[in-house]
Order: sequence, then structure tokens, then C-alpha cells
Amino acid sequence: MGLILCDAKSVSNPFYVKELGINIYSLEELCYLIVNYPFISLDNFADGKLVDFVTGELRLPVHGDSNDEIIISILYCSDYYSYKEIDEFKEKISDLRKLSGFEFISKKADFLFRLKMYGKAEYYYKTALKESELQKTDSDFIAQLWKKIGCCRANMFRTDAAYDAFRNSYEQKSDDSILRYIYFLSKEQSNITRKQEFLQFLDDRVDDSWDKEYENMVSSASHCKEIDKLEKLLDTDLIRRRKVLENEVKNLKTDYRNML
Amino acid sequence: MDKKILGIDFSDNGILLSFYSDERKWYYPAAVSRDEISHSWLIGRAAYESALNGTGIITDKLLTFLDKHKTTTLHGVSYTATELVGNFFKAIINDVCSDTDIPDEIVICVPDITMGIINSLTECINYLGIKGTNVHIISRSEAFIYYSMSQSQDFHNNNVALFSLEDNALTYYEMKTQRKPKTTLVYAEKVLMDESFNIEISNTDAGAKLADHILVSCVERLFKNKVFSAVILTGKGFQTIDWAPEFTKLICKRRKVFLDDEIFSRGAGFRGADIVSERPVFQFVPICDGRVDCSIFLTINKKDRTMAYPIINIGDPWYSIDRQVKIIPTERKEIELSVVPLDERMRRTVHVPVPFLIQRPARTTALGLGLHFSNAHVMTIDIEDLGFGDFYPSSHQKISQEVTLWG
Repeated sequence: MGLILCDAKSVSNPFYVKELGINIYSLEELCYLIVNYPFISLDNFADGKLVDFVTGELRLPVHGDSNDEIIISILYCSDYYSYKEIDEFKEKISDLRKLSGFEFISKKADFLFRLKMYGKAEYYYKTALKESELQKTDSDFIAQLWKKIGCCRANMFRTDAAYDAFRNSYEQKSDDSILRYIYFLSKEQSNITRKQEFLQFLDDRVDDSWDKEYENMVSSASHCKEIDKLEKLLDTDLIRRRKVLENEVKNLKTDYRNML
Repeated sequence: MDKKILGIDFSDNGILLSFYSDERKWYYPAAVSRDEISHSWLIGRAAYESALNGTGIITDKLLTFLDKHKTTTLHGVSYTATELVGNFFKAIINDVCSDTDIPDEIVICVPDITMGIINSLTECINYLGIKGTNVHIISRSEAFIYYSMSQSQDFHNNNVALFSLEDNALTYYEMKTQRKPKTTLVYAEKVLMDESFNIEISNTDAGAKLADHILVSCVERLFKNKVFSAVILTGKGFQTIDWAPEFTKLICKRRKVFLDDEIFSRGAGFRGADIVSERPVFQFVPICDGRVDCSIFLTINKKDRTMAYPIINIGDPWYSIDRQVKIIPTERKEIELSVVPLDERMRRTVHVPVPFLIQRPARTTALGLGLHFSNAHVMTIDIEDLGFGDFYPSSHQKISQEVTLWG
């Protein structure tokens, strides 16, 4: 069995990764982040704080002047990745460095979106949008960015702001999927006036199948394993139930803060 | 060397003490009592005398008493084994050491090392409250090794034998040396012989002849096809060997023979000297009672290849091993350990399953491995899920598994 031997010493001051909101406590975690979160590790990651962490807390040498040279030298310090895997990562870096500024930022936003960090993703989509508008990029790309901004906002339950973004996207490119999203948003909108506004925009472009699709999604969500698990936990006396609910609310709050 | 090192040989028969590089020695039978009137603690012969004249209640065979955590009541006061043996040691140390003579290091050797004995003796010494003194506990086998290896080269050029004769107990120790390119291994084995006899029989002609005959047959069997450079005789039964002429003739053939009742306490002293020395005095690895008789390796990834990483080294004192290792498994749900004894052809692989490996992405589960021994052949592995930092918090799941190294 392959085993990676780690340094068992604990660090006094972990390295805080602001964009992910996590602390790094070991060389192995740092290597994992570098390779699996390239949009973090390639974006001005190797600053003075990182170098201090590696040389001071991990007591390892750091080589190189550029961001990429430094993070590669860190990978070589550990047995977490083989030489072959490090070479593959170097190729990946090379490919990513060929992207234009706003393409890189857009992909970074996609990456953060996949991690459910919708707030940070929205920020980078907006940055990419600004750059691409300056560079007069084609309207398809801009439409995509607005659509993604809308999705970020919708996931954070900012229905009105999501609608605005989807409308901007539709103005760039008339995409029926946008209409579908707006229709679903209208279902979530509790303010009657705003709901009417969404539906007015849709006019007669509502597809008959969307209602059924929405109902199916709601039904499937209400029977998902997380809900089943919660229902099982709640099937107890009042005091324990209250405790379960307190924990669940606490977890949901943490999840929401991580999204922002 | 400035430090005072006290070597102690402690058994049920008695306790023998000697300071390192000092000719003096002290012997006390392993018995203690408390004087009814003065309440003072009496040790050794004084304890026996107090029992005979009715002023004290004696407790003897103190090592077994300690090992079995017995209690006793003396003049209406109950004492645990720790308290009783602690007071025994206290009285002895007061007798042996003056105020300026408090030892810096005490090395106690006992016939058999068990975790129970280690813990109990450590408790006793702590009970004494001697500040600034370090205490070490080794086996008689180890003391024998250090004694032999401190002698001249021709003493241990070949095998070295030791016979210890006490009441109804004949114990045989054999030491051999294996010189390897990077190190020397010194191996000592102890055998409690089936052939034992009451040493009083040597007081009669017929009894002496019988005892002589028993010893001769032992030697003929034990020394067959082996070469010995030295033989040591120790114990109460070998204070003289006039009663065993045939045995004497046999063991003296082409080898040196020594009668020495201090060999274990002196050996303990040599061990103490090695411990306190800034640089090791002895360049060998002892393998004997109290020491692990195999090396244990983990196969780890080293960039593009694998290598055997030693987590336990042959000759490490098993009772003090508390090894902590952090690993990240990359493939299967088990840990493989390679157990390699002195004879490397007998190596074996031990598989330890890890049933709680949680479904996480590859290489994102760190495991804490803790290894310790309950005796020389049984190792306990504690495995704990450490998670992977803030990426994947620990589930705090743990398992403990005992692994028998042999058999």
C-alpha cells in the first residue's frame, strides 16, 4: 500500500488562505491546495506570508523568484506528489498561463462557483465582465458572465438581484434557458409586485413543461437524503429536537457564510 | 565521569548494590519488616532476626510481592506493595548512600522484564522522592551483556555462558555477538533450566555428586557444537564449586571461568555509565529480554519510488516505545508492516485493516499511528482518523489492534 509519511510536528501559526477561509496546518495540505486549487495558487499566492510560513513554521527552504517557481519548489519538498505528478502540474500551469487576464478570472470564478463560494464567484465574474467589456469581447461571452452572476445571486437567495442579472444576460443574447431561470425565480419571489414584473417580462414565452419541472425539483429536494436524515434526527423528544434544530441552524448559517 | 551511578540487582532472593567504578558492594536478602516498638523499618537479615525474636512481621520475596500488587498488614497498619517495597528501598539507600553520595543514576536489573514490574518499580522509586535521580530498569540478560562487553576483547571473542544457581533454580544465559558492516548485535538468551536442585544437597557427598552430574549433563547439551570464550558462575549455589569437580573440569577446558556474585549489579552500572555518557561508550545493539528482537518497517512513497521506513529498530527497549507517526494512505484500506528479525529470511508482513477510512478524495485522510508494546512480542497499534486540516475535519474515529509479532 502506498503511504505518505508526514511530518508529525504541529505548526504554531497556521497559514490562512483568505479566499477559501481556511487554515493550512501542514506541508501536505499546502501541496494539496497548490495542485487542486490552481486558481488560488497561481493568483499571487506566493507572497511574503506564504514564504514565512514555509520557512518559519514548516522549516523548509523556498526557491525561486516568481509565484510559479516558489509553489513548484514547495511541491518538491514533499513526497505528497511524485515527480511525474509535479511535471503534469507544471504543464497545467503552462496551459493556464496562456489564458488572457479576463479568461483566467472567469475560470477562477467558475472554480469558486463549483466550491459553492457564490459571493466570491460573483465578485470574479463581475471583474471578468468589466475586463471583457473594456476589451469589447463578443456578446456571447458577456451574456454567459451575466448568466453566471445571476446563478450566483440565485444560490444566495438574492432573487431580485438574480433577476436583474438574468435580464442583462438576455439582452446580450436571447437564450431560452434564461427565461426558464426567470420563471423559476418567479416561483421563489414572495413579493407579488416583483413576481408580476418577472412574469410580465416573460410574457407568453413560458413553456408548459416548466411548471412540472419545477414541481419535480421541489419534490425531489424535499425527499433528498439530507432531509431524510434530518427528519430521523427530529423524531425524538422535545429537548433533543430543539438541540438538533439548533445545530442544524448553526450549520446552515456556517454554510451560508461560506457561500458569501 | 562525575556522575554517581548505582547498579542494583533485585530479585526475590536478595538485592545487591554496587557503585560504578567503586569496589564496594552491599547485599541484603529481599525481606523487610517493621519493628513493633520503634516502628523503624528493618531490612535483610535484620528483618529475619526481628521475625525470629517476635518484634517484627516479615515480608519476603519482595519482587513477586510487588509484581502481584499484594498488600500486607504490619502491626495493624495496612501497606500496599509500593509502600512496603518503597520503604525497603528507602532503608537500603539510607544505609548505602551518605548525604553526599546520593546517586545521579540508578539502574535496577530484574530477572524478567514485564510492564507490571516496570510500572511497579517506577512507582516505588517515585515513592522514595529522590529528586534529581534518574532511574532505569533493565533485565538481568541486558546487565549480563553490558558486563561481558565491558571486559577485554578475548572475554567475548566467542560465545559467553553464564550459570546462575539459586535455591531450586538453575538459570542459563548465553551471549553471542554478530558483527555486521555498520553495527554489532549482541544477543543474550536466558533459559530457566528444568534441571534444578536444592543447593543444600551439595553439602553431602552423595548430593554433591548428583548435583555435579546434573550440571555436567547440562553443559554437555548446552555447549554442544559451540565455542565459548568465557563462562561465568554466579548465585548462592556457586559461592564455591569445590563440590562440583567434574563440572569445573568440563567448563574450564580451553576457556576462562569466573565466579562473580556481582555480575548483574556491575552490568547495571556499566549500562548506567553508557546512558550518562555524552557519546555512547558501547558500539553495539543489545537484543535480549526487555528489547525488541526485530525491526519494523513501513513501506512509504518517496517521490517516484518506495522505501522501507523503520518505525521500530531491533534492540529498542520495548517497554519505553511510544512511537507516533502520521501517514496518508494512497491506496488500499490497510496498513502493511514488515517485521524483520535477526535472521532476515524469517521476515513477515503484517496487514492491519483500517475499517473506518471515510470516503474522501484521494490522499485527504491523514492517520495518526501510535505504536507501543505490552510485552516483547505483542505490539498495539492505535490508529486515529486525523482528517485533513480544514479541508476535511477529523471524524475522531479510532481503533486499536494488537499484533503478535511471532506466532
